[in-house]
Amino acid sequence: MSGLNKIMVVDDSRLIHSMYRLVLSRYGGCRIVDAMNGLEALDVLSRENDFDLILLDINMPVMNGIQFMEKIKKENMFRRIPIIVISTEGKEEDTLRALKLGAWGYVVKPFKPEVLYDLIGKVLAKRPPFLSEAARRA
Amino acid sequence: MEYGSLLRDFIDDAEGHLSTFDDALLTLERQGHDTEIVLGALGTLHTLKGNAGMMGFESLQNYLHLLEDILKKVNDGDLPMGLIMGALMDSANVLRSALQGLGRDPVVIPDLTDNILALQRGVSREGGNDERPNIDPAAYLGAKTDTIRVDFKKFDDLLGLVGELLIFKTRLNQLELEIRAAVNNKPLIKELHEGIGLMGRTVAGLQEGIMRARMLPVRHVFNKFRRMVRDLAESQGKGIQLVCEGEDTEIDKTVIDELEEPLLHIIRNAIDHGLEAPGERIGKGKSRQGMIRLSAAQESNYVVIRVGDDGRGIDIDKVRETALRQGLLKAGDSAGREEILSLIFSPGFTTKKEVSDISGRGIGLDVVSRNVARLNGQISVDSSPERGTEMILKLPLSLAIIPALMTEVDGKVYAVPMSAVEESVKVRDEDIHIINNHEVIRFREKLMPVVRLDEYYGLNRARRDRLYLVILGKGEKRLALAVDRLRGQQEIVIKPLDDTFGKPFGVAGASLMGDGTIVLIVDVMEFWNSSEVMRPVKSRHPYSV
Amino acid sequence: MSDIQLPAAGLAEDVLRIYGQEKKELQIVAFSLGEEYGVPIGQVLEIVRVGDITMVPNSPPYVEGVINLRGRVLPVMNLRKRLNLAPGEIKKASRVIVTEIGSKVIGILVDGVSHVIKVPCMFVEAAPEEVMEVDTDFIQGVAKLRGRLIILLDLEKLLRGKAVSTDQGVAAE
Repeated sequence: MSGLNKIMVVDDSRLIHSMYRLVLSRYGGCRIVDAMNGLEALDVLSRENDFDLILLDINMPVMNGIQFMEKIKKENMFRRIPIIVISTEGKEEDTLRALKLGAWGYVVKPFKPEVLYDLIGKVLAKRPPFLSEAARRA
Repeated sequence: MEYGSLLRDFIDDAEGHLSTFDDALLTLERQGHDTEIVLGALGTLHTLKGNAGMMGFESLQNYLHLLEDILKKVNDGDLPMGLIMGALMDSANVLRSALQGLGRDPVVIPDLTDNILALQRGVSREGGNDERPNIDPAAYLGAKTDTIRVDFKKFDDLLGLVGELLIFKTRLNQLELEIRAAVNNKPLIKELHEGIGLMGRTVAGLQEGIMRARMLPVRHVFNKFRRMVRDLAESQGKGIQLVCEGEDTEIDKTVIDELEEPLLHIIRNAIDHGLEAPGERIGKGKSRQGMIRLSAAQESNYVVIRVGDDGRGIDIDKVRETALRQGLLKAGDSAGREEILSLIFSPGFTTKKEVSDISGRGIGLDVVSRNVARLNGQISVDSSPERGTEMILKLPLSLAIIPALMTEVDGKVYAVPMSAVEESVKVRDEDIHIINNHEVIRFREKLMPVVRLDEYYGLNRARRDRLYLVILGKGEKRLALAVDRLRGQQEIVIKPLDDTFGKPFGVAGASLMGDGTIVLIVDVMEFWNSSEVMRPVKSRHPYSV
Repeated sequence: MSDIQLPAAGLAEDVLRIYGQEKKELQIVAFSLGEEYGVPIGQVLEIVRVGDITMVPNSPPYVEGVINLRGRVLPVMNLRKRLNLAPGEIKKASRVIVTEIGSKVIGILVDGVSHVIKVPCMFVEAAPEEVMEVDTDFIQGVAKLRGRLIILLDLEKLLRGKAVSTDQGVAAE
């Protein structure tokens, strides 16, 4: 799928990262960067900010998804990157909070891959044109 | 731009300045003298003074000028601020009430003459550099008073609680009956019965006590007119003396509140139309100064307020002319003096061709009459040429409690305010005759219309041989209200009826009985307004009665 | 445990449109007049049994009368008549819902009151024209819950009403 060249997955479970690799293999040629928590993710972003998408888990140690969102909310640069939060059933309040903080969408885990593909498609469709240009240039 | 909105702008603007002045005073009091703040306050006062001047409020302007002088002296060190702070604070209050007065009644120009004198005195006494009188700390406490100020709403809340107590008492009564049927213990039940009875009496006493606490002396209202009388007199070049009597007479606060407007109009009328200019008075051999007498006295369950003047009196011929012109009177009518005089309360009645700008706010005596009726009161007038005119207002002591005659139609009870009732009599149905499609009855040499309450309310009409007539009177008019039964006189507590769904025709309000049931109050005023009411005519035809 | 229900996945704008504002759900008092109706709980002061209602002559036909509520005389509106539904009787289950709109306190006579329900805003739709027996002017919306349809009434409009002229006077404007 065009436009998806670099994705960051933020989750504290190694297993989940492996699973994502599998799921996202659909988008052939897409580079995936792992971060184990919000702090690591910030670290990554300070070095590379040309991601097309961030998949963000909410429950993580050190800095969870909500805290991460609050941190980047202030950085305009990062706001251009679409963020999809991964939430769990029963934690709808957190999901809403993340959405209000600027996440573009959410999925509830466990989810079927189609559900994620569908959402990614929608989210990317909403991205302003210049963003994909910049991403392609990078 | 019309005056009203100009005035509003002035008031808004002034309130802002007043607020700033208040803040400055508070800061000065807290922190002590500060030239910058004082200069700021001076600037505020100066602007306000200029605005007041533009609006023509000379007295207000003078007052502000005096304040300015005082503050300037403070700044120059001639007056120690600490000592006059009290007077300055008071002055802010004076300004505030002047503004409020303007807001309520734009026509009455604020007169701060007294306040100016007080301020001067206050400042010179407190601010003298040389001799400072011995300050007695106890004097700061002021006199101990026996009265306290209470937010009037608290009384309504208390009355509400009493109302609830009455409901609970009713439940207890019902429970008593049930227990009596279920339990066989005579002495115990007797005690219960007595206990409930005692409680009921206490609650009634409580209610009466609260009603009395709501009463205030009429002085509160009468005093408001002193300044107005003085200002109006001056502006018209007339000398007028206001004499007040019976100022200690007490009435319910709500009645007092409602009285202000009617009295205001009556007094204005007296000043505008009744009292003559000094020259004219002297020419007639009267005293140079005219007199207005306000008096209040309690007469059984009513307060009678009289507003009299010693002016021209009402010109009966003029009234008759205008009444004929307006169709209120027909050419051949033989109407007595009292009746013609009472026509001045008719809607739209006015003999003065141009309306002076002070009294010409389009509110006539008919509105006064309606307002008084709304208070379940009555208004009448007495006048003789060159001797003067007197308006007599008869009001129930309490807006909330009035004596009423309880009547019954179609099994339901309706209350008729006693203030409208002349008498009641039992008659036979056959005594009621029909003339021109109206039911009438001959009573005490007069023929009067009959209104059947059940028909009036669209209830089921029972055919009875005998019924009761409640004779209602207003001035010279009489009307007989036909009901099935009379159930005695009672003092009832009036509750206004909600008008969300419109005001039900013929119902003036509701009252709650001791047992919680609701009894509706008949709107007697509507009978007089109805075109069906005829003037009583001396009967020339002998009917068999 | 939360009373928000979210689908498996969604875009922010869709979700926030419904849940983004402070009120994500309505709390309504549901009552019966044959069909089920509801009014916002914010407008309900209390619910009382039907005691003595004193009839007031020359009132509009839908005004049942007045009642004494702790010393206050309240008008009671017969909601069936107001909504032009088939007439009903006052039964044991009938209740008077004491409502407050602005400064007006009015009682509403209904067949029976169910309970207070929380209705997520996204289950509320505009009233379908055809289905309604009731004048749709008075309807704020329809709540579709599992197997239930609750008609949400606009109390303010009910109380304002069109002019009804009685024999000798004109009531409400």
